[in-house]
Amino acid sequence: MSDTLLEVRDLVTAYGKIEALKGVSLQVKQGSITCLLGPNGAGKTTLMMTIAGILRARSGTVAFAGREMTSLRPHAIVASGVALVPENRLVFPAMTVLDNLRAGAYQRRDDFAPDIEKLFQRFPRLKERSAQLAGTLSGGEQQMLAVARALMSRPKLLLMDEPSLGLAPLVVEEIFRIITELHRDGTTIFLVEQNAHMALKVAQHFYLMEQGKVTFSGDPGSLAEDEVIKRAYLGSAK
Amino acid sequence: MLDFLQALSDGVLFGATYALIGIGFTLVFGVMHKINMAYGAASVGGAYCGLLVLQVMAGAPPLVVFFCAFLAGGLLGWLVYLTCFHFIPITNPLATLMATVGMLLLIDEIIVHTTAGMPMAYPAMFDDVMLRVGEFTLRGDLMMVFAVSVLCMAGLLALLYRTRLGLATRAVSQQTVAALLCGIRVGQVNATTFVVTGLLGGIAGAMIGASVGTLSPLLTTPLTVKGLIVTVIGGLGSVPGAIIAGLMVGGFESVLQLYRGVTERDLYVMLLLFVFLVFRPGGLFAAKGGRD
Repeated sequence: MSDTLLEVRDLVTAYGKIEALKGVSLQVKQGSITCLLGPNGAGKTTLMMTIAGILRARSGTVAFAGREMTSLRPHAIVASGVALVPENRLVFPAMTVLDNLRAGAYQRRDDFAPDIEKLFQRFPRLKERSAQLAGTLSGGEQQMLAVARALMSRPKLLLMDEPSLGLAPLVVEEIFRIITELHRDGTTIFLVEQNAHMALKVAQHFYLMEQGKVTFSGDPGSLAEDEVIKRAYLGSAK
Repeated sequence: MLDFLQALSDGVLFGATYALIGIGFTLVFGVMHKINMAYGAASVGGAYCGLLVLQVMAGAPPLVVFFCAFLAGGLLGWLVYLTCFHFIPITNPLATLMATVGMLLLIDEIIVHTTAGMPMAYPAMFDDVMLRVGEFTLRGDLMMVFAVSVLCMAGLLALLYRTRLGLATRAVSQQTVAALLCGIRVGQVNATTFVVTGLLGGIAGAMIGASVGTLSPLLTTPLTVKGLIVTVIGGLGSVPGAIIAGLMVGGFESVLQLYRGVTERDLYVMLLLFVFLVFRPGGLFAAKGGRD
């Protein structure tokens, strides 16, 4: 299994006494788009936040590129090559678009101006608005900015938490076009999505998560799409 | 009319020190969403430490005293961070507040005991200079206070908007989780904020000493109250707000002192706060897009 980039094993994360993750195990293969689907409250965001080091795991391990990183602090996780595009984007609202990107490159000591140029080619709207405050951008533009900001650290693994949340269908399509482009350029992507239809189109592998546990793992096509959608939105009837 | 203008200009010049204190409160609040109640006392403490230079080197120029107050303020800021924030659970809103109140009392007591509660003379610069335009005068020492304060504010704004540390500070204050995700060490930014505000506080304390001519432990409480008023009027977390509110409160209290006397003065400052709380609770510049 040398091509496993991210390995999560028996991960338990709790808020006080309530366990949001009850022993989650999954893998993200190098160079893949892996997708995590599941209803609200399944623990998807908790998983992402735990991998990124914002939340502390109670037990279990997260290994990135074969290196244990469960106990690492967020800055060390970023330094090792993992970046998270958080749910609700969380741009710095009173900072310019350009400063948001600079913050994304906070740990880099080399010249990152070429990266900004490249990202501006990929996201021309951000270039137009580079001097504007991020809080004044539309939801779609803020999502592009959040993605671009995460890419500024040149991650090997990009975690994305519901990038299509609350966006218009056309914008959602653009986000997914960008996801496939990033993937084609060699970034491994681990994607949490509610939009099961779009997610299954781009992913090579997907997991279903319900009530803090992984309940299904397979390739798109291994489960009928309407069944996936049903379980992703409603959970499986038990 | 001339009296009014005279009182207003003196007050605005002196208000620059309030602005510095307000910035200290507001910056810590912006970054950590915590009130550092010890800030006023630490600022006065820093100013007192500046006087230590005169013990070692009698007749040292005032500039050296001010600079030492500046450095001591930074050190005190770091100590306040270490004792009241670093090891104390941040998630409990009362814990750090009570810790800083304790620190306020401690610093106050230390000053009272080491100086036997007696006011101490503080050196000033240009206190023999007087700029006259007809009957209207501008005191040299007050202009020095104003110039030094403005210089510090300019330095702070440059730090916030032109440096990597400033970028991190703004990021943490606007979106702490996102700042963590960008790889910013939030604990370091918090500690640095305390040092930077401490430096400003030391200078503010020294400038107050210089313009009043003496330092007294009685300064700490009113300074804390004024600083908090300036912070609220300016808008919690807003640096430009604190600057404008500081100058405003300075001018306001000076004019009221002219017409109503020094004993009633602070009453009207409180009334100004009341007016703001009722009609503009967010302050002059309500922080936009903050965490709340």
